[in-house]
Amino acid sequence: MTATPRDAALGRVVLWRMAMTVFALLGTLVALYLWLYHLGLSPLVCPIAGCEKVQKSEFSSLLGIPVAAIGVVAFTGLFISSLAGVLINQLRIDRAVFLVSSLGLLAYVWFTYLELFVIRAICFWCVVSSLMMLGMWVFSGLALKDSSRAANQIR
Amino acid sequence: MNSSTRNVFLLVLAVIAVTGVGLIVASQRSAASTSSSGAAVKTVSYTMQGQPQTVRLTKIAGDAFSGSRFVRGADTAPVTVVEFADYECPACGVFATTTEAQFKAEFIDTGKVRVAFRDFPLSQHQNAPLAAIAASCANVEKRWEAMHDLLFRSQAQWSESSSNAFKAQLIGYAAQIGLDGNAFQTCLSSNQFNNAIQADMDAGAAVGLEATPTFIVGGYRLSSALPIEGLRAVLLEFGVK
Repeated sequence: MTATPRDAALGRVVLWRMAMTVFALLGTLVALYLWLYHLGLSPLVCPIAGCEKVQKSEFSSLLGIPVAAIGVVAFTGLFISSLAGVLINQLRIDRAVFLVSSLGLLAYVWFTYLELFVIRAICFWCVVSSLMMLGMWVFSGLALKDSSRAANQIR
Repeated sequence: MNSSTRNVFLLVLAVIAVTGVGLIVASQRSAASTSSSGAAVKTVSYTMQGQPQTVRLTKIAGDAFSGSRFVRGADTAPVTVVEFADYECPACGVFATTTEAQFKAEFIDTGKVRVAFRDFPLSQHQNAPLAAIAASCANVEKRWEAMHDLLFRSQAQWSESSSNAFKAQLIGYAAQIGLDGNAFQTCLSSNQFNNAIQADMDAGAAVGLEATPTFIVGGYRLSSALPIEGLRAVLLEFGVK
């Protein structure tokens, strides 16, 4: 099999989508953990102090919806899209995933600002969660770049 | 992508998912079963700002109250609550400054609940041990409650202080609540309350304390501070209206 530049780019797209899938899955698990804590169903075990302060602050809910629940929904959506993209390579999911994770990343920038300067406590699992979103953003950006490169070479 | 790569990838995903869910379930289990006998759990639900909330209370073995030094409320009150707290812990501060006054008016002052406060200074809070000593020293002049309130109210001003700066702040607080300055300073530098504070910490460890604040309500452990709505629901479970 001769690998054309287009094949190489497509191969990389699948690789980036695999990375996206892993980040989305980890993000879903962390958000789920924080949500269960919010519901009072699970204790929160954090390696550094601050989780409770952040999770008990007024900012842990948005219009009555726990932020962690929004995280579960967002990461689950990203996971399903990324996994679908891995299994069905022709699916064009990269632009949508990149847009959603960009929005997600902006939300995390805002929440990190709140943690550092308003609540003045850092929640370990929230930081882990934001790193997962950063991973989503980086790899979906790479996937978008390589998939549009592959698309351009068809013409 | 060939099918074997795909299968390996799916397997890795499955392992991550199972491990993650397993860890979450395990952390819940460990919280539910730290008490030695029975592991009875009470689940209490309440509504706050239209949102349903649930708390879990775990039965504890042993007596958390025995040996308590700071007790408020009538001895005849039907329910005893033992609070384990750290003056530097933010969640304890939030409880003390936002909920406690209402709780005291509704339950302690009305003779429905007797509340004991026990010190549990956490190792990651550098000023917490001295704060506990300061509250004990204030108790010598029957001003424990005033010092307790003042320490929590001003927590943000001293929690980051160096130990010398904190000592100076404490002397100021003692003056504010009308303590004898010299006696307080002598007490603060002495180790006369070390054993008593250690006894509180041992009592906390004995009931499987995981976090501060922890409340032992009628022999059940509640490992978080609740808003007044939550406390009402929990106490209702113990027959207090």
